[in-house]
Amino acid sequence: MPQKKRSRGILATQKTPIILIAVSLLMISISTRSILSLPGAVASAVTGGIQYVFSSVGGFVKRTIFSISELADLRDQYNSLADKLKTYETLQRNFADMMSENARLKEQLGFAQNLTTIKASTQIIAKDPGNLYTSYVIDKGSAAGITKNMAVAAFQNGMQGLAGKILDARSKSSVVLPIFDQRFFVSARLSRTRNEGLVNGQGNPDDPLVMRYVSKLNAAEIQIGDMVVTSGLDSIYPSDLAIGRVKEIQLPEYSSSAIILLEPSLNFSRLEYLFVIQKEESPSSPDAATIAESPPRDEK
Amino acid sequence: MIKAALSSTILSSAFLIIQTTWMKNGLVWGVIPDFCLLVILWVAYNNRNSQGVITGFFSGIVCDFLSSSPLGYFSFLYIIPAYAATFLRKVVTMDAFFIPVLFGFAGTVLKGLASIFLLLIYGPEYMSAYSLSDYRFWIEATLNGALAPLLFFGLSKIRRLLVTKKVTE
Repeated sequence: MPQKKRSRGILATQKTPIILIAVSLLMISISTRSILSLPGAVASAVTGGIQYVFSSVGGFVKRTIFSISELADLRDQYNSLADKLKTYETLQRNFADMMSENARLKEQLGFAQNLTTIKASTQIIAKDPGNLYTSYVIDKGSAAGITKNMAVAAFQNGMQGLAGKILDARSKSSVVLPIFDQRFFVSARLSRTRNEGLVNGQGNPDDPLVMRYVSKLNAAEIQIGDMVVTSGLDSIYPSDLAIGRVKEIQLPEYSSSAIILLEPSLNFSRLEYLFVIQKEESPSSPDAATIAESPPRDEK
Repeated sequence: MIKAALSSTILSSAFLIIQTTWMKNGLVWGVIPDFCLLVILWVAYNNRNSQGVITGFFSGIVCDFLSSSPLGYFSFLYIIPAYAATFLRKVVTMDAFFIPVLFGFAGTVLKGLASIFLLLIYGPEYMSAYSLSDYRFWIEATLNGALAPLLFFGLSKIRRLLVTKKVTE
């Protein structure tokens, strides 16, 4: 009898694990709504993997060969950067004067009007159980008027910065998707040059945020250290919430737009309290009447 | 078997809650050790049949509810190491230190590989995955390996709750 048992196939002996693995994959497919594209995705993953390996090997060889000629280019770049640095030093001296002047002008024109209202002041009570996903659980939920997709901000070093958005509002708690999550996207604007782009995270609080869709032509005006704020063009986030400062500007050859890496304004490892805020349209805004007549974008 | 599977799922879920609250800021450089995985590995090793895999599946569901991951994600991630641990019980004899360290470390690596597999299938817009070049992943693997002997010792003290009678006798 035991000999019979041994001769059974893997499908018969390992039924439970195989079924549970299949159930897990099915649940992922349903919850990500990607079940229809699964066969294509499997095929493209396999071919893409092979392509990636080939491309990596080719890239490594190419980089090694061309690294010598790059050294000469680097010397030229160094000289031009040294010249640029002198210009920036002059600009920096003027910066403080311009800041105080700007504050006075804002006050006079009434631009300091706060367009956001704090819906709830909350505390972080839990984080994601693993190191793979990044979400915070706050101690207030729908009972406090919090709804899905509300913006979440934090105050740190005297500055109000965007921390994330509400991913899920339960009755007594809510899940916050932080700004550094790779599923997070926010319409943003460079505070100085007013260029617009789209910011998203890379999945880790230590990694810089990425701003895309800024034209290469406009990227020439952007300087390291420039502040990036929310543009207010979407229906979730109020305008002028700090996101981060420009850390690096990349100009890839394959694209017409620049990739701007940002240092987040908030230190997420020290985050303790969060403020759920609701975007509020200014009653004095000339577009307010038009907005009131049109259906809300969230109802789509 | 149902009783043991239920109690092991409850225990691993309790560890998940601890990971999200008391250990929310991490243990070393912001990295949280995966006690839930260690419980699953121990249960998988010490039980015949598929009890470890079942525990992994249900603990994963609980983890998915606590996390912002898609439903089924952590179930898959926990089933794979549990499945491997079930096989290993036939070839490896548990000791007090080295085998638990190996289990904790290798289990985390398997979990990481499973996450990369899901990333390749579903794409980065839906999935997050461990990066094998990220130091945090190796810190987690080392932490899990380092904490495994202690946790396995603790679990052996409540063995009768987590292991089906048939095996212990």
